[in-house]
Amino acid sequence: MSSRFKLFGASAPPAADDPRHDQVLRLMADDIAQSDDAADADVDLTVGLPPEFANLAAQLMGESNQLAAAYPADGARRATVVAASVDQREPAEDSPADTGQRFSQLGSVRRWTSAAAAVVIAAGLWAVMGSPGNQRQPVQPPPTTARVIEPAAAQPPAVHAVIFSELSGAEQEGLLDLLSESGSIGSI
Amino acid sequence: MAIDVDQASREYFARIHRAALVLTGNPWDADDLAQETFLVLASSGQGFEGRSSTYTYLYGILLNLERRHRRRAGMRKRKLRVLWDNEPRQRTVPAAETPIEVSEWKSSLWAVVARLPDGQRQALVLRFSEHLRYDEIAEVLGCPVGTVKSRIFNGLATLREMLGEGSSHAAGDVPRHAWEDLTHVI
Repeated sequence: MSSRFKLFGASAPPAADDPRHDQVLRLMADDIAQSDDAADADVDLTVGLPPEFANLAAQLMGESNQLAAAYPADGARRATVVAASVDQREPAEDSPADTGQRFSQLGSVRRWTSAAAAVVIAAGLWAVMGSPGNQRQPVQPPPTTARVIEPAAAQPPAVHAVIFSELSGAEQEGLLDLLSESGSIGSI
Repeated sequence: MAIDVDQASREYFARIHRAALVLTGNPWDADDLAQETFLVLASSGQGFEGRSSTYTYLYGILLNLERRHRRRAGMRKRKLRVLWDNEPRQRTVPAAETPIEVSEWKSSLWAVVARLPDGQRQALVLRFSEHLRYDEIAEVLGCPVGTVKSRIFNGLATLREMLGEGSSHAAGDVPRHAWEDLTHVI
């Protein structure tokens, strides 16, 4: 396979401990002094470099330009970047009037949300508690039939048979004792 | 200090794209990297303090993104190598993750530069592709000017050594290892 890379000079480049290394660095420092202007494609960047390096540098620059010419930047990508940056910037660029309008819209939305929530809660309560018309009204005794009721005899405590049957024998005896003491043994 | 992304992209998108193209070797990754660079600028432009120029700031973003890109690609390549070593030789299905460089780049010196260490590679790209001054390169890379000069010198010296060792180091049409470019084995 043949390489199209160009090789310049037969000598090897100076090593770090080679005295020529410092010389090359000095030359590069001169290069800095000479190219102290703004970055510019017209500036000769190979000035001050050893010949073999200068030729390599020149080849790198030429091939970079060729690549850029063969594959130019995609304009659509740039447009996407600009659009994205505008989207990100939009909130910061609002005028105070816009901001006020947004706040007022936000307040309106919150009011409607609160109203809807109140309606939902009321409907839920209606379903659980029943409508006021369906609620059972306390039975009022006829005004003409007033009577005096003895508390113990009128409302005897109800003891469910199911609960009673679940108790152990000792518990049942204890409960019967309590009921007999309270005078409600006759209701079981 | 905010940056006008529209103006910055108008002025520098082509330059950033060219650097990305030289670094990656294919226009698709270059498009992605250039776009991502400006998106990062748009999202973090408020952090730009104005101590550097806009384009050196952009190059800094680009190099960070590209380093991450290379790291991910390297991991994929290592996984591919394992897969390739374990695969029977008759199976030669190209991997979708295989990086594809354009032929112009493969046959250029930049393909050899891509094998240099990060510091030398980035210094050479900023100097000889982007034509930045030494102090600007130092600003982008965050190192002293002397280090930049040393990296450029050592980079050129290594590049020359690699070319002098023979054609196997030059990025030619045939990859050195089959797993490096599976598309060649079809």
